[in-house]
Amino acid sequence: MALFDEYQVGADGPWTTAEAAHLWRRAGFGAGPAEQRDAAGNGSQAALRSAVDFLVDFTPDDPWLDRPAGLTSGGYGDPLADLPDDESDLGRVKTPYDLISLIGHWLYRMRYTRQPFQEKLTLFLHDHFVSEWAKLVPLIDPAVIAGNDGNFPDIQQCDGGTLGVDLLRANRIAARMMLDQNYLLRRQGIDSFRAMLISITRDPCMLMYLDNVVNEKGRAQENYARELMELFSMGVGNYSEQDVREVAKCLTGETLPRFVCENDWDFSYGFDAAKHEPGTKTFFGKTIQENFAGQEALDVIDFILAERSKNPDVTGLASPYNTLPATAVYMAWKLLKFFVNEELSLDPPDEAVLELAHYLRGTDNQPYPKRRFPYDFRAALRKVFLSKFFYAEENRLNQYRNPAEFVTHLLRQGDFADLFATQFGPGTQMTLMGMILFNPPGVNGWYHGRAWITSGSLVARYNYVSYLMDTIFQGAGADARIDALLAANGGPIPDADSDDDLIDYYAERLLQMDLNAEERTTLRGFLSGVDTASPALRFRQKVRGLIHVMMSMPLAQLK
Amino acid sequence: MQFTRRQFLESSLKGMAVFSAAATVPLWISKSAQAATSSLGRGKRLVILQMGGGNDGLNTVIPFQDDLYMGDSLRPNLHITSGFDTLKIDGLNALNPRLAALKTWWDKGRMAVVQNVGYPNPNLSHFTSTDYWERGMSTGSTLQTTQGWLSRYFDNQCAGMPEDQIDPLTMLGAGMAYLANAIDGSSVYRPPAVPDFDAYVLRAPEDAIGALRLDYIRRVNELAAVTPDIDFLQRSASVARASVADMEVASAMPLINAYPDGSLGTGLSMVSKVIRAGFETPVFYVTQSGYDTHANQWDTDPAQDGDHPKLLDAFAGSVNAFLSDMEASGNLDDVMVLTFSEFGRRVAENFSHGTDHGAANSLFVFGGGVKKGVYGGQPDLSDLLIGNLKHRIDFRAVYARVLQFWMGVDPVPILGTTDFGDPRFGIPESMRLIPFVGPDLLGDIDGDGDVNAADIQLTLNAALRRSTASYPTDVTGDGQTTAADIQKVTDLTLGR
Repeated sequence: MALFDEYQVGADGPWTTAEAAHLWRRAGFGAGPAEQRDAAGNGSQAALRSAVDFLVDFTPDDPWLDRPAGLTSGGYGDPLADLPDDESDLGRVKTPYDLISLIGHWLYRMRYTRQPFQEKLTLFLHDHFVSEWAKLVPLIDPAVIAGNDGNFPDIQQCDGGTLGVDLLRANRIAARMMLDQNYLLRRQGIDSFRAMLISITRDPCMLMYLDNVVNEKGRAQENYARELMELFSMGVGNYSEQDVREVAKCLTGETLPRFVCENDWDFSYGFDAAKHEPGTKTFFGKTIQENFAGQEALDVIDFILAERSKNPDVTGLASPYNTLPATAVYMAWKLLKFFVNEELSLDPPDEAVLELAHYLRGTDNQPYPKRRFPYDFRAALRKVFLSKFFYAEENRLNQYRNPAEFVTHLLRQGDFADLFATQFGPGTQMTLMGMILFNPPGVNGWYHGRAWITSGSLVARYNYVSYLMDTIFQGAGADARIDALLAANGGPIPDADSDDDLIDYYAERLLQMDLNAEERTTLRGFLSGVDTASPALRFRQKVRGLIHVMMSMPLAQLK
Repeated sequence: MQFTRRQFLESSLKGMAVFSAAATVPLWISKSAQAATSSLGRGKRLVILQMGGGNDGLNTVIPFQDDLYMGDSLRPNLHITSGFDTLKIDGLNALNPRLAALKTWWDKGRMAVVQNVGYPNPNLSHFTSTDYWERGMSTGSTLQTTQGWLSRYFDNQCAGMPEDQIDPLTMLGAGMAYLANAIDGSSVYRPPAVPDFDAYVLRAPEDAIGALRLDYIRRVNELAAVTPDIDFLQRSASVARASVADMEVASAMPLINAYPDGSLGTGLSMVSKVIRAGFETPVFYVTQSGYDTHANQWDTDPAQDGDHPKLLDAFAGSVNAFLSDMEASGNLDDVMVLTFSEFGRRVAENFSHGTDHGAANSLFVFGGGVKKGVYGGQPDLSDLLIGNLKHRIDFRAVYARVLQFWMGVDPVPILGTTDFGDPRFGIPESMRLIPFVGPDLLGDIDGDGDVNAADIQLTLNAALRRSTASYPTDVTGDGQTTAADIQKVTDLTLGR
C-alpha cells in the first residue's frame, strides 16, 4: 500500500488553507474562509485528521435540516389532499411536489447542510444508481395506467374509482418517490454496499425505472438484471448474456404488488411469490435453488459481490490482486474517478484502482479502525482524503466543477433560499449547464470531466451569475441584498476604497487559490473601470461585477 | 488530400455585419472574423441524427413479406400488419405508418434505407455501443481511439491550420447542452453545443458597466494558459463567445415550417436557421432520446399511443419539417441527414409490451446525393444470434461511403481501413454493397479486379443470406454469364 498511505505533513507537504480548500471542494461543495481556517487548524498532522473526520464522520441525517414532515414510504393517500401547509417558496422547497421544488429541496440541502460530504456522497450515488424523473412520470401518469393497458397487470381500473387521476397527482407521487429514493441513498450510502444493493433493487423508483416491476415468471425482463451487473456493480466483461437472463429470472416477483388506485397510491415494495419463476437458476457457473420468499435476489447480490474479475489485466496480476472481485475493482474506479481523478483507467486498472479495490474488499489484511464491513465507502473515502495520492500535485485542480458544485458554491456566498423552488431559480439554470438533478441523461448517469464544459454550459454558467447578481438584485431591496451578501460571509467587510482588498476577499471565497500577477492586474483593470458618481453605488457595482467576472474565469470552473 | 483555404474576404465582411448586430459582444470581432474552415466538406453538409436508446428497426421499416415478422411466433402483439399500404418502399418493405410524412421524400428520391447495419461481437450496453458508433470503432477493430469519428475528419482535413482561422461553427451540436462524442476529441477545436437560441445569449446589465463586465469576461479567458485545463477552458470560452454572436444572427431567420416539441425538433429547427443564415458549417449533430422501449413500446388500447409511435411521430415531423425547409430554401442538394442508433432491438417482443436490447439495425439517409433504395439486404429473422439480428453491413462502411462520396475525403486515415468485410459472405468490403451515395461498386464484389461469375455468386449469396449454397450465375436465363447478369443481380440486391 503506497498510494493511499497517509499524507505526512512536513515530509509530503504542508497542511494549510490551500490543502483544506482542496479537501472541501472534493468532499463537499467548497469552503468559506472560516471553514478553511478551521480545517487548516495549526497545520499539524492532527489537524489534517481532524478536518477529514469532521467531514466524513457525519451522522446519517443532518440534524440541522429537518426531513420534510409527512413524507413516508408506502401509501401516499391522496396527494392533492396533502399539499404543503406553507405555500411560500421555502415551504415548497421543504415539501417538494414537482421536479422544480424537488431539485430546490436538494439544492437547499447542499447549500445549508453542515455535513456537505453527506450530500456529495448522495450525489455520487444518485449518479451511480440512476433513476430518471422523465421515465417515472409517464409511468405513473394516468394516461398510461388508467386504461389498465397491461403494463402493470395488477393495477385496478382507475376510472371506476372515486379518485380521479391526473398529471398533477402523477407529478406529486413521482416527487415523493424520488425523494424517498434520495433519502435512501443519503442514509444507506454509509451502510455496506451489499445492503445498498438490496435496498436499491427494491426501491420503488428503481423497480419502475428499470422495469423490474414487470419482470414475471415466464416473462423475464432483463433490463434491471443487466444494469445491476453492468453499471451498478461489476462492469462489462464480467458476465455473459446467459448470466443476464438467469439473473433476470431470479429477480422475478420483486415488484410493487399493492399498487392500486383506490385512494391509496401504494407504491411500496413487496415480493410476489405468484410471479416468481420456479426452478433452479444457473449463473456465473453456479446454481441456486428456487425460493419463493425473495431469497434469490439476495443470493444474486451475494454472488455478484463475490464474483472475481474476469479482466486478464486483473487475473494476470500477482496475488492477492489476481483474486479481486469485479465489483471491488469497478466501484474503486468509480469512487476515484468521481472524487479524485477523472482520467483513471479501469481497463487496464490503474494501480490506485487496484489498491483501493483491495481495501474496499477488506482483503488487504491491514487493520483499519474505521472500516466496519467490506465495501465501506465512507471508510474508503476517509482513507482517500487522508492519502498522499489525494494531495499529490497531479490531483489538485484537475477536475471540473459539475453544475451542482458550481451553483452551490455561489449560493453559499449568501442567502438565496427564497429562489430555490422558483421557475427560473438555480435548479432551472442548472439544466442549461447540462445537469437536471433527479433526471440524469441516461442509465449510466452524467458524463463528467471535460464533458461538463461546452459552449452552451459555459454561457449558462456566466448567465447564472448574472441572474443572481442582476435579475435578483434589482429594484427595491437590491442594495440591502448586496450588503447582506457581504455580511453573510463573516469576517470584516472589504475596504470600499481598496480594489485589491475586494479582489482578495472574493478570490478567497470563489476561487480559493492565489491569483497570479496577470490575473490580478486584469481584475484590477475591471474594477477601476467601474465608475459611477455615487461611491456607495460604485462599491456595490464592483461587488456584483467582480463576482460575475471572477466566476467566469477558467479557475472558477475547476476544483 | 491537400487542404486548400478559401479566400475569405466575403465571409469576413459578413462577419462584420454579424458582430455589429450583436449588441452584447462588441469586442470579439478580431478573432473570429478570420475564420476559414468552410471549405471542409466542399460545401456539402452532414447532419448526424442520433436515435438514442436503441431504435426498433424492425418496427420502423416493416418487412411485410416476411412470415416470421407477420406471424405470431416472434411479435404477436408488436408487429404492424396494416396501415402501410401506401407506404411500401419496395416489394418487401414498408414504412411504419407513423412515418407517412417521410414517404414524400422517398417518392422524390431523397431517401435511402440501409438494413442489417451493425458490427462484429455486438455489445448490448447502451454506453459501450453508443461509444463505438460515435468513435467509429469497436472491440478488435483496426482503429482504437477515444476521439469521435467526425472530430477525426476535422483533424484530418485541417491539420496545420492556424488556430485563429478555425471557424468556431465548423461543427455544431444543436438542441443539447452536452457535446456528442462523435464531434468531440480534437486537440485544436471543440465545437459549440447550443441547447436553444433563447438561452444562448450573454446576460449582463444593458449599460456601460454591463458591457465592461462582458469585455472582462473575455479578457480573463484570454490570459496566459498555465495548464492544459486552463487552455481547454479558454478555447471553450472563445468558441462560446464567437458562436453566441453567430447564433444571434441565425435565430433571426424566419421560421418556414413548424417543428414538433422536443430536442430533435429544437435541434433541427436550429440547424435549418444556421444553414439558411448562410453559415457554411459542414457538420451538425442532433439527438432524440427515449428509444429504449423495454416496456410500453405499444399500447394495447388502439386509442392510446405507446412510446414508439410517439417517438416516430416526433422523428418524422422533425425530419419532414427540416427537409421541407431545405427544399424551400434551395439547400436540399447540399444537405445529407444520416440517422443512427446504438443497436436495434430483440426480434421477439418481451412480455412487458416492449423489446430488449438487440444488435443489427436499419438506418435512414435523407437529402441531397442520396440514391433512393433499400440497401444491405433483408433482415433474416430465421438466423439470429441470441435472439438478435446478425449484421451484414458494418456501420463504418456507411461512414466510409459518406466520407468518400459525400464529404469527398479518403476514409482510410479517418476510419483506419475501408475493409469492413464479413467473412461469412466472403465480402471483402461491405461498403460496396450499399451505394446509397456515390457510384455503384457492385461489380467487383470479391475485389479481384474483374467482374465475373464469382462476383455474381457472392452477390447472390449475400442477397439470399446464404454462405455456402451455389446458384446458377445465368440470372437472366439467356444461356451465358455476362454483365447483364450482374446488372440484374445488382438491381435485385438494391431493391430496384
